[in-house]
Amino acid sequence: MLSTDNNEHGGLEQRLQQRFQDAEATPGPDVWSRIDYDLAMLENKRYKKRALFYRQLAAACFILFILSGAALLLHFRQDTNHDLVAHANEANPQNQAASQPATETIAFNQAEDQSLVESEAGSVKSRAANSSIIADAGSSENTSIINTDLTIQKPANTPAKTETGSRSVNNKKADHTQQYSGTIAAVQQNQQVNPESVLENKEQSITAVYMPASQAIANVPDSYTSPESLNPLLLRNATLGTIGSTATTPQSIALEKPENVLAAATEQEKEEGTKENSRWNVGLGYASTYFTQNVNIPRQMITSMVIRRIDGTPPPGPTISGESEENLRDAYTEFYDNTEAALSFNIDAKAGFRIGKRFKILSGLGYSQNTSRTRTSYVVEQFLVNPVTNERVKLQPTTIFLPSLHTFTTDSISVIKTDPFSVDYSYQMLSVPLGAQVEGNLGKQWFWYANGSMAANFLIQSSIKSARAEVASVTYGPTDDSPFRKVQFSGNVGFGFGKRLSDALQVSFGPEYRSYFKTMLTDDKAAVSQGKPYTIGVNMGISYTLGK
Amino acid sequence: MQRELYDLYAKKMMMVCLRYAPTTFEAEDIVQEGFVKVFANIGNFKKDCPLEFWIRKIMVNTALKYLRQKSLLTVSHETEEAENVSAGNYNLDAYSLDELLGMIQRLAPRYRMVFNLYAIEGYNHKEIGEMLEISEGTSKSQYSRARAILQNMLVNQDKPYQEHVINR
Repeated sequence: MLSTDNNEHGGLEQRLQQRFQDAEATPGPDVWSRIDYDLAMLENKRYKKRALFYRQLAAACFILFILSGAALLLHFRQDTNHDLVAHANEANPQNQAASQPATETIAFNQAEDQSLVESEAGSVKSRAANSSIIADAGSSENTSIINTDLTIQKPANTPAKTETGSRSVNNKKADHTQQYSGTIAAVQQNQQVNPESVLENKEQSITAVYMPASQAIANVPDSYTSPESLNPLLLRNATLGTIGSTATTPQSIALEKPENVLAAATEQEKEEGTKENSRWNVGLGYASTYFTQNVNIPRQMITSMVIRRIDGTPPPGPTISGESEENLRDAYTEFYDNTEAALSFNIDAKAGFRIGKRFKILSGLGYSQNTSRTRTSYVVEQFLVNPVTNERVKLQPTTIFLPSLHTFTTDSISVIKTDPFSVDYSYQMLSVPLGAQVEGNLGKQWFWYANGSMAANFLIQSSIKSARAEVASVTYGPTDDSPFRKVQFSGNVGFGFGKRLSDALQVSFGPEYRSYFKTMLTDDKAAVSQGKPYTIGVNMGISYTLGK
Repeated sequence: MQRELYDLYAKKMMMVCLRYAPTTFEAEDIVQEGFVKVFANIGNFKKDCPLEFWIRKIMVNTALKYLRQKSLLTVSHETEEAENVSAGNYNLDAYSLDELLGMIQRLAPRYRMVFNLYAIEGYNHKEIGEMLEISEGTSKSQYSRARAILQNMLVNQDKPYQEHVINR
């Protein structure tokens, strides 16, 4: 037996470890291409998953935006209605009294005539809902008016109540009778849909003032025979002296003509609607900017190649001649020195909602085309060797930018110096901004503003276009496997001045700065440290306030 | 960058995989799958150990998974003959790396796995037991058998060792 038999980590293991520790075996030449393919598939799968997530996110944001808008709109309309009621009541104090809450009316009636309320308590309570509807009807809301008619013209709905109410009235003193006469008069004011009944009611009302109470009640038309079918809120009108006032000043009846009230209310509605609608505005903005892409390409690639070649080991990338190597180095330097911001633009269509006097929330849709430019004098040619025929295939020439972003997978590379030509890097994005703006007056017509927003930016197309015909221009669509980041967020700040051209129309002008939160290149393509892109420019906007 | 990393470590990892896989083709499959995992998870590398160690660990785990999928890690039926180590001496340095590798590759998959993990990678039997989902004792006994078989191969290098193993 060997000495290692009883010592498991003995000589055998140690010597095997030493032998295998740094041992190497060359994998087949196609292993890397298989890995590359797998990685591409993996990236594609990840991208699809990410794209799906962002699509869902965008859809959710859109739905949220629509729902929020709808909720705000609804809220704003309700406000309008309430204000309209208030204004209508200002124009007609009787309606104001009629629009008091049902509970208040009940309490008031209890104080006014306990016995009457006792006899009618059940009826009054059961009519609480109808009362509020009738009160609203007095504020000229069309649907409510229809409800009023229905309430009044359907005595069959409350036959028992009608009977009870009539009996009660007949048994009361004259002031109670006067109350019901007043109630009828008040109802006349609320009958705004049927002109015939309105006129008829008016006559009856006037008649009621000058005739005995019993006669007045007797003259009530069939459709009004049930005081209980009338809004109990109107009892308060009568008690508060509607009749009294009309008796002393008959002209007030004319002033309270339904047509006049309706007209006044409509006018109020228009005015109020105008004021409230001015919360919303829509606008268009155009920004002329300079875009700095801040893309760095891996310069050290060439260094590693040189070192390996000195060591005598084969380079990891394609083979390259000494002259090309020198040109490659110059091309890198040139890219760093000659890449500069180019004229870009951004268009936004936004909807704004005013909060308070100075603040606005803005959101919408934007499109931007960001461009950077390099002036270069080097063309990169790459070659592939067909393993079967051993034939050398030349790929379409490019600039140093593209092969630097992709791993060198070609067999050889040649860098040729030519006349200088320009290369444009263009990135087209769709963006969904969400921001806030604060404004202040600088006089009657002028104002200042400052805004800040964040946006989700979706790269819809990126292209590298060369001014030299022989150099290939490359365009990546939204689904292509591009080295550029497809979705990223940005922050935007701006300020400036504006002028109100009219009540509804205003223009603005001011500088803006937009910074993207991530680099243009995706992380796996960014072999060296990358800068974050940004734009600086001037924004011009026009906005229109809705409803003015 | 990925290509550079591959060029730097591919050869070493190929040798690692060759020790676990029965054939070169299968070793290349493991290298391929392992490097895809490396590139997909390079962001998770915490730099608490050397990168080579991290990549090697991924390769070993990938090999383990690969062999498990191929059902090569089931218990083999062996004759007692495998444990009968013949007396004799051997000089490990006299064997080339290819010869040593050939001997390891001729071990039954389960023995090969345990032997590699313990003797060359340096895992202890408890860790091996957890990795292969076997008990610590089983790991020890399988290692002893593997070691004995290998020693037999080394001693009887001139007459190739006939391993009575039925690979499933």
